[in-house]
This record gives sequence, structure tokens and C-alpha cells, in this order.
Amino acid sequence: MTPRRRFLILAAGAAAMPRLAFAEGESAAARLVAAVREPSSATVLGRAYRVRFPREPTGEALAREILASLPAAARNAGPHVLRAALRERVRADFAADHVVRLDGWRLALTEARLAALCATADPVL
Amino acid sequence: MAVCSVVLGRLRMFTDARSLPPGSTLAADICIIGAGAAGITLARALGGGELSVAVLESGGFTFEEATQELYDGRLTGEPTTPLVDDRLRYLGGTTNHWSGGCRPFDAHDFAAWPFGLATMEPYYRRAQTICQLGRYSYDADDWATPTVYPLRFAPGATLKSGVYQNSPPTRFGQVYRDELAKLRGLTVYLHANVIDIATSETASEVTGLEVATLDGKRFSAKATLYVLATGAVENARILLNADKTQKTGLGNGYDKVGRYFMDHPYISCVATLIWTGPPEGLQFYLEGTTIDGTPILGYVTATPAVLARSERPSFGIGFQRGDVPDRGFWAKSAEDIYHAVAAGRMPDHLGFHVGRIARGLEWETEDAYRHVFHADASLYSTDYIAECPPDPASRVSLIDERDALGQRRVALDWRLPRDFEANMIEAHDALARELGRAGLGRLRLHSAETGYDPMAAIENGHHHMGTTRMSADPRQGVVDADGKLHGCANLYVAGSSVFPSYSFDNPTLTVVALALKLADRLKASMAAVPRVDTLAAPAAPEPAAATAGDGR
Repeated sequence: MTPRRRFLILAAGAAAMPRLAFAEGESAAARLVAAVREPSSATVLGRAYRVRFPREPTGEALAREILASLPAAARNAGPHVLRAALRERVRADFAADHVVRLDGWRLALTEARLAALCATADPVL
Repeated sequence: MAVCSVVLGRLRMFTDARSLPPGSTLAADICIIGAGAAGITLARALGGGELSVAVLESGGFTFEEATQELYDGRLTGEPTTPLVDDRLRYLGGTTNHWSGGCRPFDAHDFAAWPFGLATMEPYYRRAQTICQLGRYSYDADDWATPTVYPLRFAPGATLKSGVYQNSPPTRFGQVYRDELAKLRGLTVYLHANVIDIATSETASEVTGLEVATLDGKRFSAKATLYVLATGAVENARILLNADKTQKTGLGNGYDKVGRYFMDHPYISCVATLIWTGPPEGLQFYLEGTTIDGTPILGYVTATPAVLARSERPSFGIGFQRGDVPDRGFWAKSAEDIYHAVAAGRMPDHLGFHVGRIARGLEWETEDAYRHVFHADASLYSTDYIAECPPDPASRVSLIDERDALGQRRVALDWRLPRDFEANMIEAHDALARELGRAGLGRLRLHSAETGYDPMAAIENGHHHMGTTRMSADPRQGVVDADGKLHGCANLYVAGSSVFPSYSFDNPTLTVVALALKLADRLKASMAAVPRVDTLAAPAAPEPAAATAGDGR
């Protein structure tokens, strides 16, 4: 098994055990990345997104934009609540036609940006 | 060999026209040309009573190469199935190889018709039985069960689900053959090809038909009323070839015969769907689904309000189950993607990651996650079928080449609208939005850029329509609301050639319903006309009385 493949499988396993709460003072980007169940896939998707949209903001600036689109109560909540808020945001994106085209895929703007955030935050891939 | 029996002074039988003496003249109250879905429905509705009815069918009981070849023609427009392969020319016509999909048109589909759904509704209900379908209900929700149900879009969705019912499919020539043989006053002449329509000097009335067999016999048929029911290409072809009186073809004074040819463009594998909805998936939309004993097939289409607002043609999106590769494939795929991204390229299998992200958001429990990872029913592809606006340039026209009976063949120039692809993409974008909005999945539209161009895979739906379109205005159509040829008192046209517009729905149920409507009209017309007593003036040389089954 290659190291890369081992990482992907471990990452998938880790994603199945979501964290219950964020550490105090954790950055916006870190909180959003931690809410993503599939960080390895998000990273790959995010890199593809960044190839397609290179002028998008990155890091904390992008994280703040994503959080700003969520209900205030969810912004500092734990991963479970944050993920639920993101899910609703994604659905609202589709309803409002805030859709990104990526290699033929129709993705919600928020999920694509979330993936881009993972790509900039992940030092492994 | 003629196969006939005489009952109550009238012939009732199948007769091989090749056995008739040359120069014979057949006589009937009503003469129907063609024994497909429309012709057989008319024959069943008109026969069995006081009327004498003759049906002239080009073929026999089964497929014959030489007869089928009479269909051959040239294709000059969009790629479509060769004419010689698309229709079938023997008893039962193209129902001998139809797939059986049935659905009445919606109310908005009749916008360009001289009558509406309310007029058609009673005939649709009767057609439902003739096509051997289930209960008369085409509301998708009426067919829902706890485990097989239509997509649950969010409130206010722009899309909705519909449902087809699938006929067994009814092979009209087989299913109704015995009945046709027994109906009082009805005679079906096989191998009888109409080669000309004789008219009065002003073409205001048909005076007879010239009929030929492939072995060289010629005879004629005379009736009070005539019905042309040979399919959209052949109906136009027969009218255009009947040019002795009207030089541009019978009923073609305004150059409408053959124009507005329509078919359904159909494309499979337009998009890939990663399903993130409930585990039971999209069973409602898959081939082979049966509910309450009725085979059904769901589809997605725009709501009537959206169609009215957008003024776009109607469409149907269906689903096929896709194969989901195993986890080993996914891992290999992930490595491939890594290398692609590292090289600054778009990865080949982005869908793997899209699926994981989307599912990660939609699925909350560990069990659900595990289910998705090993799911075997979460990848689908879409297919697309659409209505196209009637186009006078989409047409059937005569060419110089002639068939074995000396009839000019046709060229078929099938046109698609320029915005067809844009409409297809727009429909799928709407589907992507509604699926994402309802948390049901993500869609990837294929294109030349993704390596598979759906536009290169357009097929025709094998639904020829529109060449003798219906209109109250003779300048806009070939037949009136009853199907009567404008300017001609006693020639009617049946079948899908009279459709002035259409839906994305299969046309057969509407063809049968319209034939029933026409039958009522013809009965009313004949009520005040003296009956014809003799069906076949000259007898066959040695008529062999037998049951209809002998001719099989």
C-alpha cells in the first residue's frame, strides 16, 4: 500500500468519527475544515476548484465569508451543528442558483468553497 | 388464395388482395388505408354493425422483405433511423415492434390543437383498455408505495414527476386479429397497396382508390368515406403522389403536406447522478418497475407553470441505474486524482470526491455512511427526451427515385431547433438545482469537454408525427379538427400525422384515442348516407370459404 493510499484510507476512517466540540480560540478555517466529514476528498475537490477559480479568497478570508453566510448561532457551534448549518446553506445555494460548474459537476457555491478551504489548509496533499 | 366466409350477406374476413381478379372494384361504406394502431382501432370501432368497412393493408400477417422495402427513402436532415427500419409494414403496423410506453398528453400539450384535453379524455379512457394498460391514472403520486415513490422535491420546485404506463406491448395485429376476422361487415385486404387517389375534377371529393399488389395486380376501391392511416411519412407520401388533379399533391394547395415533421430527439447518458437520498433510491424511475400489476416508468419534467412561463418545449428526464465501482477502484481513483491535481490538471474522477463531500453533508449516522460507501444503487445516469417546436422546414418530400410499385419515394429532412442543446442543459441544470436543494444528490452534465458528448448520440424516438397537421385554418393545416382533408368532402386522415404539436410523451395512446374520436365522427357522417350492400363486386376465381385463421 502506498503512503498516499494509506493516508486516504486513514482519512476516511477519521472522518467517520467527527469531533464533538472545537477547542477554544480555534480559527474559523480550522473549525470549518473540522466539520467536513471527508477532508481528503474535499482537498482534491478544492484543488480542482482553485484551478478553475484562481482568484477566489483563501484561508481565513474565505472561512470568514463562509461563516458569514451561516446563521449566527451556528458560527461558533460544534462540528455537528456547524455541519447541519452548512448542509442547509448548501441546499439554499441550490435553491438560489448559487451553483458552481466544475468539470461538468453542478456544486453548491458553499460546498465548493468549503472544499477550497480544505485544499488550502491541508499540508498533506 | 382468397380466404373468406360469407355471413348474413356480407363478407367478413381477411382476403389476400393478390387473389382478386385484376380490374376488380371493391365497394364499401368506409375504406381504411392501413392496418396499424389507428387503422385497426378504426376498423374495430366501425365494424360489427351495419356499416361495410374495407381495410387495405400493404403487408400480410407477418414481415415480408419486399413489402417492407416500399418504405425505403432518403435521409437528409438530422441522423435518424432509416425509414425502411423505423416502421413496420404488415398487419398491426409499427405496433409489431413498439416498446409500449403510454401516457395521455397534458392539457398544455393541446394548446395548438383545435380542441383540448377535455374533448380527448373519454377517448383516452377507451384507448387505455385497447392498449391493455392499468387503471387510468397518470398522476405520479397515485402510484407511490412506501418503498417506490416519486422524487420528493422541495416545496415550490420547478420540476415534478410524471409516470408512463407500459403496454404489454399490445401487438395490434396479433391481439385483435381474431376479432377483426369475426366483425360483421369488415374485410381486411392484405397485400393491398394504394397507389393513387382518384378525385373529382376539383379534387373536392375522392372518387376511388387505385390499388396494386407487388405481383402486378391492379384493382380499385370505392367507398363513401376514406381514411388514410398509414403513418406520418406514408400519409404524406400518398397524398403527394396523388397529383393527377392537384399537381402539388392532394390537399397540398397551401404547401403544408409533408411539412412540420416531428419526432422525439432522445439522448441517453446526458448526466451522471450521485444519489445522496434515501437508500431505496430511484426505483420509481427504473425499467421493470411494476405497481399494482401495472408496469410503470417515472420521469421528471417541468411543472406546467414553469413551462408556461418559460415558453420552452416540454421534456422528460429519465434515470438508468449506473454501476458503482468497488472501494478498491475508488482508492485507485483517488491516487489518479491526486496526480492529476498535482500536475495542474482537472482530475478524471472528480465525481468520487463530489460524492463523498455531498454524502458527508447529507448523511449523519455512521450506519448511513457505511451504507453509502458500499452502496450498489447510488449512481445513476439520466436520459432526455423532448418535444421540439413544429418547424415547416422539417419535412417529408418526394424524390425522383421510385419504388417497386412506381411510387415516388421520399426524402426525410428532420430538423432540430437550434436551442435544443441549450434546453437540454437548462433542464438538467434545473434537475441539479432541485436535487441539491432537496438533499438528494449531485449531477454532472457530460459534454465534449468531459470526454463524452451527448449531442453526438442523439437518436430519434421512432415517433413520426405532424406531416398532415390539424388546423381549423386550411392555410395552416392539412386536415380540420375532425381529421378531414381541407377542401375534400370525404377523405380523412388518422394517426400521428395530424398532430399540430406534441408532447415528449409517446404518441400511441393519443393515436388510438384520436382514431376512436374519428370513428364517432365517421359513424355520425354515415348515419344519413345509404348503405353500400356489396363489398367485393367480382368474386375470387375459386373462393375458399374458411375461417380467418386459415390465412395465418
